[in-house]
Amino acid sequence: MKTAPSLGEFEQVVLLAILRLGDNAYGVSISAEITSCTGRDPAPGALYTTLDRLEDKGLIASRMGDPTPQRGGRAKRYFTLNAKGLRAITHAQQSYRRLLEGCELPGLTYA
Amino acid sequence: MHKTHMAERILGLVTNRERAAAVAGDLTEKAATRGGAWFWSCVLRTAASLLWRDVSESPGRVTGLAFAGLAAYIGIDLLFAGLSGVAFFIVGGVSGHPIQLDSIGWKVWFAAPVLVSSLLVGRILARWAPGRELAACVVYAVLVSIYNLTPMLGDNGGFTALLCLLIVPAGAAWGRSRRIRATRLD
Repeated sequence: MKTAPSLGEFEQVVLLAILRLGDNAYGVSISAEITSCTGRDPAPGALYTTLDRLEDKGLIASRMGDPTPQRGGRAKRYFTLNAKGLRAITHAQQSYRRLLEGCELPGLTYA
Repeated sequence: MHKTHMAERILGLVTNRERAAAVAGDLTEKAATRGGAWFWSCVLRTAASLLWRDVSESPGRVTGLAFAGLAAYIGIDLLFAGLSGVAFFIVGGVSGHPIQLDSIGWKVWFAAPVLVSSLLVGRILARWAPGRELAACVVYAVLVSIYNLTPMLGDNGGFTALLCLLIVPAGAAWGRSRRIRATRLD
């Protein structure tokens, strides 16, 4: 069995945001999704270096969209999770789940 | 120059053109609700993050390149010292006039190699480190500043160190634009 690459906490957040957004995952929408789900406003520098790193690791793929006037005529760079990325985030979340089993956290019901 | 275009040029120094354009577009889109100050602070912080990533991902390679750049700088410096000796001999010995080192001509003579060697080293580093030009240049600029400020080694001048900090990245940008143009022609 192939071992999944290890992921940092912010890498997991970004991968989950891309997974939630489906076909509409690009810089602005990923940042907005992270803010709405976690309350954190990620620094653009941290977000783009993380996206580049995930792509270099082969966990996500990117494609360029069409240029729009709202963006100064620049195209959006859309991201999608590939099989390796999906395996990595699944493995990371399973690890969290195993760690949470038997723990009692205030306000968190865990089945 | 349009702000998106300028941001793209800045980001293009630390990442490839496609990624730089997409990031500049994202920041332009978000800046519609957040304003110009937010836009420029994000452009600079993003460029700094991408630059730091280049250095931190391969510190050995970047430092090695910077030392190679420093060796080239010292080589050019020594060559210039030899040329200066010849020039002193010709001006002082042959013409018989006393050499006045505080004259404008000599000041230009001594400032020129700093400018030329910094620009050339920036361009050499751009050729050796495609895609990581600025990272190599920043580490090189730090090294050359230490060299210049070290007694018995450099000229102990903060001005020279400052010139290097400004001109080396210009040389790197020059080398990078030549490389990108050559890639496009291919």
